[in-house]
Amino acid sequence: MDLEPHTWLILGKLAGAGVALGFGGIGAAIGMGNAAGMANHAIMRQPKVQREMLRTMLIGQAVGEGAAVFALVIGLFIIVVSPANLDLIGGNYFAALLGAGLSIGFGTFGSGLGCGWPAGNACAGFARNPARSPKLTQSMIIGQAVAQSPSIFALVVSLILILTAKNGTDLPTMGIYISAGLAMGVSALGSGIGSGQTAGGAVDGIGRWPLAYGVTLRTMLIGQAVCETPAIFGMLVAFIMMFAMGDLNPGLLGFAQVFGAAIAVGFGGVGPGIGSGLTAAKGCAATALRPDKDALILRTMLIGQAVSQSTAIYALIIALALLYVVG
Amino acid sequence: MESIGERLIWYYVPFTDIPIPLGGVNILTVFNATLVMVVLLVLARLAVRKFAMVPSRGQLAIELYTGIFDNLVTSSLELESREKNRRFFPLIGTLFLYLILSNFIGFVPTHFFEEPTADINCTLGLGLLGMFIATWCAIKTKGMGGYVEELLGPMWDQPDATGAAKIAGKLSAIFFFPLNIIGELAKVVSISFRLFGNIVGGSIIIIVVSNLVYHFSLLAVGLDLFFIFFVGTVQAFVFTMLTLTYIAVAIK
Amino acid sequence: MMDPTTLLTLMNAAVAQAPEAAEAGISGAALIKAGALIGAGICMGFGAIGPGIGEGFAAGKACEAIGRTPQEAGLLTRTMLIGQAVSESTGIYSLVIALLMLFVIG
Repeated sequence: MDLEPHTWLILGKLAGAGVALGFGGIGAAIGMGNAAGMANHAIMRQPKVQREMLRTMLIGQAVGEGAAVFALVIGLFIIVVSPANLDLIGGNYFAALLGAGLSIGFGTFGSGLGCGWPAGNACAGFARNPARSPKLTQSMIIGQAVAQSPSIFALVVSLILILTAKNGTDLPTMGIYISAGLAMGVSALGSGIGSGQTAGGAVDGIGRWPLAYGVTLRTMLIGQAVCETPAIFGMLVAFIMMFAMGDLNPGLLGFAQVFGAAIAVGFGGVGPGIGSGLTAAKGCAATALRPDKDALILRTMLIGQAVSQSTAIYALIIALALLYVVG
Repeated sequence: MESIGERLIWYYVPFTDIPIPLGGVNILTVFNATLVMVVLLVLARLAVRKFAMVPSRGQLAIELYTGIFDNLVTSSLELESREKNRRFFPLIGTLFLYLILSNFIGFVPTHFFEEPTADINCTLGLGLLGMFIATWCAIKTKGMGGYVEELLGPMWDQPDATGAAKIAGKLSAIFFFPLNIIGELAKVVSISFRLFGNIVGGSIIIIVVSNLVYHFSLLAVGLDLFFIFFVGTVQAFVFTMLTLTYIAVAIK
Repeated sequence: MMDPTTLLTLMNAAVAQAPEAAEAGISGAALIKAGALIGAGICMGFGAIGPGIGEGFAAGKACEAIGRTPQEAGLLTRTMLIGQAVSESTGIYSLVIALLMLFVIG
């Protein structure tokens, strides 16, 4: 653990920027590939409007790529950032940069992957009836923008980590920084995928039954908001770790405490995020099919999502117990 | 970069030595929240000053807004009469206007006008207000007993169960009751942190991007427009609709 | 087969080294406790993935079905809740094991 300050700084920059762009790139790449595949399929069915279809696909991909752009911004920031006092840098700074990378990397993974579905489904809907393209594009952009909010949360946490890192080297503080990033990033992964699926379902529904445009959009927004609850739990735990931690156990025990909490709330949020997304996607499609029954469908969707999120609440309880009760 | 999280906090009552409990008051948030309320009041006063049969442009906007939100409240709550639905309309309509103006106030480029919604205390207060109203309505429609029974879980009340199944159902309440209480609290946390995180995240992205690319300031202006007007509107709508939906689920 | 005296000597040497390891900051008991804490996190974290996705899937199908036949909403919601309760059980197992690790072992 006795490394030169310069070595810690360079190690942190390499690890943080690498993790940020590595993981952040995967999601957007898969998502945009998915969108392009669906667009190809749609062009095959309606070759006459291929130019307009290409435009829709490119708009969707450009908005969906936003998540990867966040990762790029943070990665660049990690590379160019230079702390005030270079001689006092220790392991804590390394951990903060690595945590920032983990947060933004995993956080943008989900949003990037999720944004592929609305773009692809917009192209598929376009192939069904080219006259509906403005509404499809509009709903696609709104859905994608809301699906980016988990990655915005991840961006907040990673910037706070970079800007408030302490000097010195001690295992519990290193644990706090890495764990805060991990908790935020991984929990945003599931929420991003889920919100994207919701937007995809809504765009699919609007493409098939365009009459219920407004009602479907409302169901989509509520469904996406509920999908983002696991990411909000992750952000809460990350904030608690960074600002409201009392005395941690010294040494390895303190590290284990925060790291365990991060794994619980982070990975515990993946399943509920994706599951709520599956529910909300079907809920949006059903609302588009039967707009007269929208209140009933919305209620069933919310009950289903709430039950699906009970495991995220168990994970939050375990994480809070690890942080406050065990010690 | 230093302006992130920079706050003007009063730790003491002005001109005295009396400390303010719970860690002081963020005076910028209080100022901006009050400013939004005053602006809304003045606008509302101006709007209802004279109603004509042939509406002016302002009156048309107000009528359109009222009509849209009246429909939203009616279709979400689905109570038996329009009057009963309309009891919730002032709350929902005002909440949306307040939030949207709060989110837009950050566009004014000075240090004084910060979004009140970028302070967790403001959004947490609004979230608590919504959940308090929802719980109150639930107790009013179902009675205290019905409300508590709902918290005891789905297996508490099984009319056709006998013997061991009935006892197991009653015992399951030990597990479900704390979980439902935490679920209710989690609703408050999630609704308020969602708005707070989106608004703060937007302002942080704008600051970072304009620091990184300050020779090409058009990008920062575009991001500013996107985050303040688009994300601000969508998140204000989401907050309002979630409050409405929680009320609708509570009174069903 | 190892000579018993050699084994005894080795064990004595190992016991004699234990205080030194404790001085370096990591003792056996602390290691076990740290393992239990991280283990509880892994148990609840990964254990929550499956039920979350599965319950969401069930609820999605219920929404789809209610969209097609709204008059059967009550029956469909009941079926959905029962299916989700079964899917939830593995999540509850994880919760129980995680609590055991936290408060009994840790």
